[in-house]
Amino acid sequence: MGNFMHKEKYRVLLLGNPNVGKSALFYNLTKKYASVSNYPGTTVSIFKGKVSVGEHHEIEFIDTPGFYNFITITEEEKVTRDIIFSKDFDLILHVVDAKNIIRMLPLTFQLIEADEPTILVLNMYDELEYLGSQINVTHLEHDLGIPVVKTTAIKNQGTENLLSRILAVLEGRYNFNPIKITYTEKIEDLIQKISSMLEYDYPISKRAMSLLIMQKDKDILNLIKKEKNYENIQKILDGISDDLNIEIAHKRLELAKKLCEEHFIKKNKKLESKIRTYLDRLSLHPVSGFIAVAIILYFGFYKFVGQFGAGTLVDFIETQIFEQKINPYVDSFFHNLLDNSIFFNLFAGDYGIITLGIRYAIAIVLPVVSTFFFMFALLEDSGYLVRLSIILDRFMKKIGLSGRAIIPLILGLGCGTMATLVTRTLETKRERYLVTFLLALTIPCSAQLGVILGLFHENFTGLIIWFLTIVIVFTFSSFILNRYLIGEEVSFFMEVPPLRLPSLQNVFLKTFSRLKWYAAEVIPLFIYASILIWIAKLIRLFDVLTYILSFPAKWAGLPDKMGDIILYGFFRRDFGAAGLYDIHDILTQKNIIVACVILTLFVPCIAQLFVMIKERGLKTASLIFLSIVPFAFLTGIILNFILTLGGMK
Amino acid sequence: MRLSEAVVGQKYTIVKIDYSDKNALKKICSLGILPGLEVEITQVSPMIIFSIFNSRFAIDDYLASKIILKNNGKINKNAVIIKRNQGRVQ
Repeated sequence: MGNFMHKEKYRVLLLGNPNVGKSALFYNLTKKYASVSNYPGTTVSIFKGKVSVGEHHEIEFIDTPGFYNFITITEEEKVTRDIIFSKDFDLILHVVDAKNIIRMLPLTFQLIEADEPTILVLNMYDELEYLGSQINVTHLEHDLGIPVVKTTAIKNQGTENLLSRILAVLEGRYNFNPIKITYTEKIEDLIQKISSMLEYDYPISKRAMSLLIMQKDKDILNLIKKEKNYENIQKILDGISDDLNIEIAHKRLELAKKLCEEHFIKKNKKLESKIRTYLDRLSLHPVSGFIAVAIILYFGFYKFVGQFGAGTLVDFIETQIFEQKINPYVDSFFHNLLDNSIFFNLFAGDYGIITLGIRYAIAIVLPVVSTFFFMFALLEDSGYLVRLSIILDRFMKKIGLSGRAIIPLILGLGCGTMATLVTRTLETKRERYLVTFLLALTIPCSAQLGVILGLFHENFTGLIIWFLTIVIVFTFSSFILNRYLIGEEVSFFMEVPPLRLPSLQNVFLKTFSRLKWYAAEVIPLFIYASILIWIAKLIRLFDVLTYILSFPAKWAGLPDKMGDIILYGFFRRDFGAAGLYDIHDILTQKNIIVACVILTLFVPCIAQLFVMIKERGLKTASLIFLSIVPFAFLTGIILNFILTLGGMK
Repeated sequence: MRLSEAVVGQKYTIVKIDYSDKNALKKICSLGILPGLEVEITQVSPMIIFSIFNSRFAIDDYLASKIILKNNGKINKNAVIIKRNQGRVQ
């Protein structure tokens, strides 16, 4: 009873810069963890969580990707702006880092200008207190004319209070009296002129629209194309200089500064710990920082993800669980059910959905993915990820990559499929393409490394020749690609977060929510692969392909059977490895080197190809695939020729 | 002078953002870096790091060359990497 006059379902947006603890706040409000949006890409999918308040209210919280300004730059910002423009919400929580409120208030002003119902959330309030400062929240609220709430999401402080303020606003019990931001006379004149020319209704106020229009935002200009005054507005714009956005931003910043000067209270001395300051300095130092990166990459990624995850765990789950327990059972189950019909092989047998598809997803990729996500969350939450990029940036720029591209590349040594997925954490399309290509061509995954290291056992010269060849191909191809690939070059500009001790609970929750995402997105790919193989076998496509592949193998001086091995290795890595071991007695030292080089350069496996298609699109993925296959053989043929000239048998 | 030529420990005021490269301009403005802000350079290698109020930023040489500064003449000899509260918070 009683509440029927109220709307029962509400939607609330969480909005703000990356790195302000939005996702932790989201978790506190909904008790569902969202992937943290430190890096563009990680929360491109929007996270939503519903919570019931009392019997009659349900609030849905929506965690939006990082947003700095209504003039958008990144894809993520565009996504968020589209959400704002959709008007499908009742309230915005503008979440800011309390200690950096001065730089973040300008966005609050923009939300106020746009007439959006907004609550300003001063998050990470404990860090401000660490610095010995306080904000007079009541007075700030009075000046801004919108609710202001302080929280420390990571310690779940202030959530209750925030929730009650949210309800107050949603039920219309709060009286907004938003501050008016006044610009220079020139700008105010322009606002007057432009807004009087806008006849349609827009999702944000005309004042906010006019400000965006005079800053010549392309998307906004597109939005007003239908206006009959469009031409006249264009004429006004022609007379406006391009740096008006700086003038506008400067005015907003001045106001932010003024408010903060009034409402900041400096109480005591900083509580900053000496050890933290020292570690911070070490992590950014050109020498010790580099050593720290090397240690973290070696132990954290190579040892933990590569060897423990992709080695120990994979071996255990694959051989102990699948090969010995599940696969025999599944085989006999389907044998009884389907006998020897063609459908038997769809589910069981060597390439079945369960025996290959599911097994690959669970036994091979899942351990790599979970150990990686764990490590990544740890680095992200401790603030180290940004430092890693800082240290390696100049070095990586030489091949057109940014510092953070090192992560997918290192990860590729564990699992190329996973690494290709992780390229989403890179900023530009161009960089994602470069890394995807390098992963597909040059980086051997743990499965391939295992075979290769086994074959070169007691053959150190062979190992060195293989290694040098791969390094040369890596350097050569990255220089060529960097030179001729069009697109926006990488640039680096990021806030350096303080080093923090990550909360293990958060790290686990984050790992878990990303694993859920993995299961939903990637496991189907493995199932499709099994179906595809089943069809290909049915129509005898494999026989044709092995026949075709036997030719370049012969040209590289290898036995015909190499065609089989490469093809089967592509579909089932254990078959490829076993195949190579089977014939390694008839291979010469030269053959082994050439075979290993071709195997490394060839696209590692069907799952990686599928992820490439998913992430880069069918066209780009095919282009990469079709250029890698001949290139792998060509390199093999040339290497065989050189080694023969050198007198190697 | 440009941020890419700045000296460690020195305080500067941003006077202008070079808008010859639109993408660079957008990226710089998006992090709230604007004329009028006072910056202090904390290190230049392996990357330029500067602080504004309570935050530090790392920027590559190219983008740094787009930020134009004026020397404030205050040298902090004991510059440490973490510099807090130069926003003169009262």
